[in-house]
Amino acid sequence: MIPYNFTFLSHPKICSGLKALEHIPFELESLNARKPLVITSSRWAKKGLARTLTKALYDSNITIGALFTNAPNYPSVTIINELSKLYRDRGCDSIIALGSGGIAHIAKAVNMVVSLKTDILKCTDLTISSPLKPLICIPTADCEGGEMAAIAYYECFEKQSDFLYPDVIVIDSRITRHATSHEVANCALTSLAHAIEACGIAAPNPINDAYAHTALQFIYQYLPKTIKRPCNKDGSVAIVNAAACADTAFSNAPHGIVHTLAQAIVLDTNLQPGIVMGILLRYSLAAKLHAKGGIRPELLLALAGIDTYAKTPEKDRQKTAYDYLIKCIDATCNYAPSTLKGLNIPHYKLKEYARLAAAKNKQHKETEYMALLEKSFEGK
Amino acid sequence: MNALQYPEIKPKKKFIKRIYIAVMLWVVGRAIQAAAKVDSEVKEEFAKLKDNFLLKMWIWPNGPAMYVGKTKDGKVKYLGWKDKGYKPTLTMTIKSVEAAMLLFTFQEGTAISTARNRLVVDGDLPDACALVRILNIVEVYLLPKIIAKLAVKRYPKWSQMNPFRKHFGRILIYVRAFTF
Amino acid sequence: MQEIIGTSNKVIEVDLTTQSYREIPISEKDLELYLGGKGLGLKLFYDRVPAGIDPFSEENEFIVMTGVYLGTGAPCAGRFAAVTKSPLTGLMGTGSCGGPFGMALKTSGWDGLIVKGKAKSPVYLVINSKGVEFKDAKKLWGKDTQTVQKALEKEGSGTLVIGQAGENKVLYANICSGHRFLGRCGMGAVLGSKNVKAIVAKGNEFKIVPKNPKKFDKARKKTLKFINRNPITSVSYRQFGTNANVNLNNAGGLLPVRNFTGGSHGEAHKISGEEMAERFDTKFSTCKPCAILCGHKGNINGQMRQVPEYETIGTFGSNLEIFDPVAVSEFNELCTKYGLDTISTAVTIAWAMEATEKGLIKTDLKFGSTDNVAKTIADIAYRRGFGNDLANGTRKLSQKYGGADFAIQVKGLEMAAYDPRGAWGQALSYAVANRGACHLSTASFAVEVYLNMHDPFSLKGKGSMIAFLEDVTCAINSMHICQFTAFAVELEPFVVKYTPTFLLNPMVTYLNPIATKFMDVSLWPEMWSGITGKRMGMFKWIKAGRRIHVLERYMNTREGVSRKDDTLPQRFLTEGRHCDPQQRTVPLEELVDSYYKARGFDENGIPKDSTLKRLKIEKK
Repeated sequence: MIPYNFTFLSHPKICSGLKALEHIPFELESLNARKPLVITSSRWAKKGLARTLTKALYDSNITIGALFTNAPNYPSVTIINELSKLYRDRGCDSIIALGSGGIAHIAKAVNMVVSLKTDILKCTDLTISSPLKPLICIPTADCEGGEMAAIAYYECFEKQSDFLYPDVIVIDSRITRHATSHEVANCALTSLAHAIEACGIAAPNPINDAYAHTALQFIYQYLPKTIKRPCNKDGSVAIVNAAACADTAFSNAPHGIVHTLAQAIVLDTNLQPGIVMGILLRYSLAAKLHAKGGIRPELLLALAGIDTYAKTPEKDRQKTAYDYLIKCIDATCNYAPSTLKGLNIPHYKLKEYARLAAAKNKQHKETEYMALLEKSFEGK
Repeated sequence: MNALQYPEIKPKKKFIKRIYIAVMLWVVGRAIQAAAKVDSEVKEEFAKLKDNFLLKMWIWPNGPAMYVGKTKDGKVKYLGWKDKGYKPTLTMTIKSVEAAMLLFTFQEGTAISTARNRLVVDGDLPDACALVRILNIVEVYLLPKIIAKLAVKRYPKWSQMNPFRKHFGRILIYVRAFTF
Repeated sequence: MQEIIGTSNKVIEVDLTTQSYREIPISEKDLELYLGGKGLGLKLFYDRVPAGIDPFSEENEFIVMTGVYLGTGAPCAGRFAAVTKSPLTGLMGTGSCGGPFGMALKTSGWDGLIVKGKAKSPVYLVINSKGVEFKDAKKLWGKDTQTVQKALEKEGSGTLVIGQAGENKVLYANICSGHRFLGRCGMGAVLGSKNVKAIVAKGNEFKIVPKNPKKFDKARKKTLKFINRNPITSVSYRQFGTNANVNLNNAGGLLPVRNFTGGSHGEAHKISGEEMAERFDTKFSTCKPCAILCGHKGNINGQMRQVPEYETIGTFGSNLEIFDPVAVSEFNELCTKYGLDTISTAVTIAWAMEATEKGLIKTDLKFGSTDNVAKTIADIAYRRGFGNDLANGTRKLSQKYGGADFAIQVKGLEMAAYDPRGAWGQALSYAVANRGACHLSTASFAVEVYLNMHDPFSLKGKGSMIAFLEDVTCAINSMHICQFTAFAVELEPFVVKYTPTFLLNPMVTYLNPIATKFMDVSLWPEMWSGITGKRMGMFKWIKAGRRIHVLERYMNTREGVSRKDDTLPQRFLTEGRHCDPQQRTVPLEELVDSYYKARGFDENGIPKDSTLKRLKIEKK
């Protein structure tokens, strides 16, 4: 590996662990903010997470500008505009996104609108050249990928910019342990796919690899346990940490074939992205193993640790790494089938997905997308 | 959207926790003063510090505070909890009341607390290290072994602090701390 | 004339690829389990067509099934059902139509018609008792539905025709029969993909006679009596058509206004049935035979035209904020000619208006303005310009351009003109309906708002009520009889009629599973039994309805449907209506949970094995 020729940026500060929420007032003030707009969904509000956050801000100078508890999972122009208005009316100066998925993306979009003082639809073509308002992300364990990355999805658009990283990521077990097993599986598989795709590129980036490897390590160690008991404190925190690492790795690498295809499928079917990515990843890894270059043996080091890595003969390392990865994916077998057919995706739609993916990400040809889809369909 | 549904929320105060921490800070402050007289190790540590040494240990942003400093004649003194225009040479800021609670209910030691980014130190690093050592000794004196073990990084061995010194020192420190 | 006693129990299968046909028998067992009409059509589709096929492929089949009642003289039974895989939703598409084709097909001696394969060049089919003729339709291709129907008038007594929209595979193209339509799910596009411009049935070759005339006649007379006694069927719908709903919905907050943001509007009376009846001097123009007579035509701008139905008025009128019935009738005529589903067309246009307003797309459409609407309808039918995108429906549009929160569709099918926030039962019904946001899967708004039999904003008993109404509706659509007869048959029997509303409401709300057992719907199975000569009790009949519904659901789950699809557009879950001071939204999760429980589905919305076994549905 050549230790130069790369760029890497990871902006967010990660506060993880016991009483991490209580760090928020300090972090906010160090970002020169005193009045955050809190965005969360009614589901998390009902589970008492909004209350936990409010209590964590007690005994500080932080006033919550508005606690918006009705955020939908879809980042629409309507909700973004309404929240931007609320932000301005209340004179807020920062945003806290409590929850994953759409909530985080809504927060990012609102941040763009209020920082750049423009319409959200115009943001798509705009180059962001200065830091946005402080944004704190408090992810729950139902991440769908991209929440903690330098990317924002809204409506059918996606916007990439280094300034879209959240400033602080707070991972606290009081927040992460409320997701269901299904959501944890989805989150882990998304992170797995993003991490592997980030370190599987032709020109590896050593720092990015470190992040991806950390994500893989967390997932391998904690996934089986957390799927069984999603309310497990350590497990859920580890999975969300893995998501944070994978998101950073994902931001610093080009989008992979699995990610692009999964997005195309999810758009049409409303399935959870992780479940689709898990299936596609399984067959893309198998294809890679037999292709020239193969899987990088360093993955084994990340997954199994130095002992196993050293014990395994050099020529077997790729295969062993592959086995370990498949073991990770298999841990979710109760929640995700192993083929696209198992998801009841009709075969005639595959062509459309391949076409959509090829239009979106031109690094691969439509035939490559189609080949992977065909392989994943029946698992041959 | 009905904005009235999403009101502004002003932070409330955590009175009981603050009172507890204030008491603990008072006890620790007084105990440092006492230990500086009783224990030779503490005395030595303080002797090495600058003459204008003044410690401020406080809870961010407006929590209870404790000032301990050297007087002109070189004695260590607890200066109370009010800011009387002191110029601290070393400030230890605890990031939140909850972090202070973890520290003062001995769930986390000073070292771990620093490692977990709950303590922010402003001042000379050697001074801070010396102070952490002092706090460790004071905690060993103040607390029974079972609790102190949690709070300090390494509980002193027999050779470092024999039982006679420990128990005798403990009595003296308690007496000095609570008598005026 | 020859006689058919009961049913002929044979279906004609037409293979367009080989231009051949054959007769397929229907087993007595299937008839008893699936009643006929929609039920039998679904069962045929289930047995013959594998899951996961392309709706536009040769493998897809278009099945028309006439019901048991058709041609026997049962009241309001001039209807037939169609089943196919919908290109709009990718799921099972079913439809019901009151046009003359059904009667013609049945009196040609066939209980149903299956069209499969794909013709090489445009054809039209002529069906008689002996078989099928394949005729060249090159001259008819590109013509509108009315012209084609006129041209084929002499070939037979009933036609199914597609317009230009169907030819161009507009995903919500419909099929026209007389002045009635197989409106939803894009069946016209399926026929278009098969290169079939029209299907003509000769008719008048057989006479249909019930097996047990005495029993049948008794039930028939009683049903007629009920229909003529019930105020909804004998007064409101008869005098003002389905547009009698406008004023009721406006008062109940169910009217779609400005792409489903309003709930009610001050100008709504201008498009109400009462006003139109007076203004256009309306006359009956209905399905045949009919006893309710809800269809009307009138003198609109000097021309004798069909008065738009409520769904058209609601979606093209108030939903676009166009309170001019003449303009709406103009759009209705255009849709009729091109063969477009008015509900989907109007809701798609409403989406385009709102998306334009929000800046997601650029069009010349604007709420409240009739400009460019007619041009847009034509563009959709011919897939010209942006019309090419609009022709794919709101789901595909929102995937491409954003705006999924105000794309008023469920499972791809656009929502009919009842705002779900005004009646939570209706909201649940929209969310879980098999073919998408279908108002006819239960018509629960009537029970909740018009009749006040169930608190519209209570969560109690909603799941089991919707399940019960779905069972009954499925059974009705398999008989096949008009759904409006439900007002008469369900409400006129003694128990329901003479229990005061203040007692009925809490009973239905809090003791729903028990209360529904006391509901007497035995007239329908009695008529069925009179015609076929087989025994059919009320509970067996309702169970058959459940079987049909669950079969359809099971077929949909094989196409990928699960809980994730049983949802409503974001708008109904997070925004209140303008007319509602309490800004109520739909608590969908709880409703869906209770529904799955009542239905015997697992928490993911898939029918449990035990449920399928109980209903004698073979798993494939």
